[in-house]
Amino acid sequence: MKASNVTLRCWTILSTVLSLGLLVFILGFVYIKAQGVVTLNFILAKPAGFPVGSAGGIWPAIAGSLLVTLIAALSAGILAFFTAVYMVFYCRSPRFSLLLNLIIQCIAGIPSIVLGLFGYAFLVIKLELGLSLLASGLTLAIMIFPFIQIRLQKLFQETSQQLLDAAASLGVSQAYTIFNLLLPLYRKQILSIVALASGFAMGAAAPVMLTGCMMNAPVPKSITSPFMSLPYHLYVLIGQGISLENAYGTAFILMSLVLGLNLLAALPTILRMRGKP
Amino acid sequence: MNQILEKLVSFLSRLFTALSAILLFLVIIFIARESLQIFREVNFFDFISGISWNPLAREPKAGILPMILGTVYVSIVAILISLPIGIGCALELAALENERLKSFCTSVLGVLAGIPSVIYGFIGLLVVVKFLEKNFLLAAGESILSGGIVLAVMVLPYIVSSAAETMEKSYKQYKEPSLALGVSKSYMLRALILPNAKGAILTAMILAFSRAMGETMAVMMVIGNSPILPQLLGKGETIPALIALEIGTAGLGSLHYHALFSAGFVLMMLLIFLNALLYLIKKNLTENLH
Repeated sequence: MKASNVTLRCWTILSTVLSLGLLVFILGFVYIKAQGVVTLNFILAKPAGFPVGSAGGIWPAIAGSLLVTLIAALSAGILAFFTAVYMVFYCRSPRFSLLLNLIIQCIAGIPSIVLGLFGYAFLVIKLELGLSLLASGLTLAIMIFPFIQIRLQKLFQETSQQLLDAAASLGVSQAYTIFNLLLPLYRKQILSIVALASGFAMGAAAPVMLTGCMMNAPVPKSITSPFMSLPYHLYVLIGQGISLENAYGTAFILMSLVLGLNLLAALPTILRMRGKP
Repeated sequence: MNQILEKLVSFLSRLFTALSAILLFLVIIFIARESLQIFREVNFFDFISGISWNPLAREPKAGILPMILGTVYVSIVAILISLPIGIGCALELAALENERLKSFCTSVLGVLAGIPSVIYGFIGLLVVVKFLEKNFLLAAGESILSGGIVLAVMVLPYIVSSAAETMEKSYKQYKEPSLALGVSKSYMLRALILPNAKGAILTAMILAFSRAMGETMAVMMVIGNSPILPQLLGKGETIPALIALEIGTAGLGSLHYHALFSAGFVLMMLLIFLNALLYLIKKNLTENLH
């Protein structure tokens, strides 16, 4: 009896240590190996050398990744916000709401590579957007939309009914309640959810490689130009054996940006924990 | 003014909700439309069960069975590796009393889930593949096993967070009765929480399986990518990798192009089915708890 309890605890504690250790290993691996590669010049220069990428920097990839993430976060954020508002404040039929939830769950289930195929066939070819920043951004937006929507809906549903009743009994309109009560109340959480989703969008290579991302391109001038992205650049550097050193550098920058977004997303929680004695 | 705003918000929320619902059907219809054309030349059953993939030959062969099996094989290997670790970690987290430590652990797992898949592939190639080459004396370490190991790390945070969520609820439910009976925490975890977590483990497994099957980059970088029937220590190819590698060279509207869309369609329907199943099971579980 005692022995099996001890075994169980050993198992659970070991698993936890192992899971947490994995992150330390991954961070350590990339950050130690990237030392010396990441300089200001590496960040700000264009890729150079032959084959392209074996020398020089990765600035176009950084800019491309940031821009495509911005487009994705904006469009997915707006779509998800209004969908969540509808489901929580306007939809009165529980059956319809169940159906909508199921649909959004299904969108969440579509693998990113298939979204890439869709972006290619529909946005790039049918809508004639071409291989472009816009097509990639919208494809990524579809990918992160369910992630944002599900969390926003949960957030709105947890609003205290008392607060909403008080607003309603003052004769205030639904829209006024949403913009003057809900938005200020949840501003930080909404931003944190969108930041987390942006991290996912920035790291995704599969959807962008089919819809507008190139092996070598300048910093995009407009939303209709093709671009470079960090994850795809990393894939090309390592997959075609161009430069292991620059691959470490690219991985370092990509990971730092994604971790930065994660940290931004965790900020409200951290601040709240600080506030507590 | 206020009324206009009210109307506008109501209209926009309806419009965007309709748009997001249409999106799913648009994706399904578009992928289906592009893939159906191949079935004029290859019959569906041959497509699913054919074992040779050569859509560019004079007599084109488009059988995706090796890729379907490869996708399922790596995912199963991944779950076999990560489920024991994930459930152990979830049990520990569910019973953790120190709120600060718990929130630290959840954020570490969140970061682990947020690391881009290319980076997992990159590290997998440099660490896991090298390790297999050295220790298993393989000619090439790129194999189903290395894909499974990399995927196991990637799905681990999903398993933990999904299982811990349900386990935490049942821990809170049984905490006071157990304390009153003077039962130790370990005993409670073993005799109460774990046997009660069958549903949680099942949903965690389905979630991890669907994540693993849809993963592209990380698997593609470590699995070797040859369209042959998969073996644990041999090369294989998954459906997402097949699409990512070949769509760039497939001529628009060619048989090759349509075959890749059909492969995507098969994968998508499988995953949509898994996700809908997951949603319904989860809904049932939470309703049973209350």
